[in-house]
Amino acid sequence: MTCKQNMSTAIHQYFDRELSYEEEMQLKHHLMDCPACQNQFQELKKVHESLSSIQEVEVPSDLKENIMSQLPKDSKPKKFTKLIRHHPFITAAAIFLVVLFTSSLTQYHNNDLLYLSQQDGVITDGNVVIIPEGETIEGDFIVRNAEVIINGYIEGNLTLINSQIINEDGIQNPLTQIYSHVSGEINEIDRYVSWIFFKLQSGYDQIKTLLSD
Amino acid sequence: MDLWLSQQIKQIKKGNHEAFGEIIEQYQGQIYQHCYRMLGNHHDAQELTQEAFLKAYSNIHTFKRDRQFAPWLYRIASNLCIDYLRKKKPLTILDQEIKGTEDITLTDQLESSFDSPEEAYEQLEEKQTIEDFLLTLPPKYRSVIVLKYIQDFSLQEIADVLDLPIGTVKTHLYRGREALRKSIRKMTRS
Repeated sequence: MTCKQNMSTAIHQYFDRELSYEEEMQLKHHLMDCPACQNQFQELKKVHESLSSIQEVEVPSDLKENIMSQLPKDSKPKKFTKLIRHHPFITAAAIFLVVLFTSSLTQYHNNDLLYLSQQDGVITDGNVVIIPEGETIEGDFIVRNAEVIINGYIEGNLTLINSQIINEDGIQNPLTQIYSHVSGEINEIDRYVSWIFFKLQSGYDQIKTLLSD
Repeated sequence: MDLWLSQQIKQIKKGNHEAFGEIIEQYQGQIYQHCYRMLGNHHDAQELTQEAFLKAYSNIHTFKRDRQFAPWLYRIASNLCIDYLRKKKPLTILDQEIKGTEDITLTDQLESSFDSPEEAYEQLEEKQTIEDFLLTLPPKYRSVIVLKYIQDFSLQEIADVLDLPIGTVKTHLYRGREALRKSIRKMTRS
């Protein structure tokens, strides 16, 4: 049993609802007259219906859990490249700040050497700085990483970085006792943050004087 | 793409596992059906469904916002299944489970309840269902049929998932159905 007209495609299109009303009518008329196509149609109808009736299977209950447990952890370098890709400017600024911070931190820690403002008439003995009696220092005086004995007079501000005032016997002096020896302010800086603040402030003061000059 | 989905995807791109959990919740049923009908057994279906989701997770950055998510996910699963079938020639339908007898395979039945192999073979022939025949189809026809009948996809959606011209999808669908028709005819005659 064969059919001269090839209706096979039309039959398939019928099951996919791709035929127009006219085409469908045409097919149905042909099927009534052609046993071969009628047979093919019935068999395909059975295929179509049994495929449509296939039941869903149950999903294993541990499926989600299994997948979740195998998810890769977001690796650090990947995160970093992602960050650069999405926020190049913010990343650049952040890196700049980190570099600035670490370099200033090393500067702060490495500088263990005694340091003081260049002044005449000041005696240094090891890490002890002595301003002898009768000596007057004109201008601001900065000491870093030292112990200071003030018997003379400072005509300006005194800044102590990681330093402390002691008396002749090496005992720490309360600041109140040396106010009479300093005309200006006494600043004690013994922490990183205040050191940075001091740096910034002196930098700012320098710029200010530079501009006003 | 709806708002919920695009928000989940944004979160997944940030490495949020919870958001991906929601996606699994949403799609695991459909993807599992697809894998099961492509592969024919629960063990492989589970394996490949998991693999598909893991692949989707690690490739989520390649997913573009203007695309549809479901076809993208189906394509991953479908390609994995086809690759898998290509590598591992499927065993005979003896490995399939018979409907209603969850843990007993046909192999077990052959060993236990039949006196002669002939008798067993006849019984097996009768028991073959459309699901079994589906698994004998070439994978490219099978995937079109599964997407059409199990997932209820339109021809255009199938073309999107499989990345094929719609004409090719139709050809595969027609040939797949013809092959099934012949299998059923052969079965009813014997």
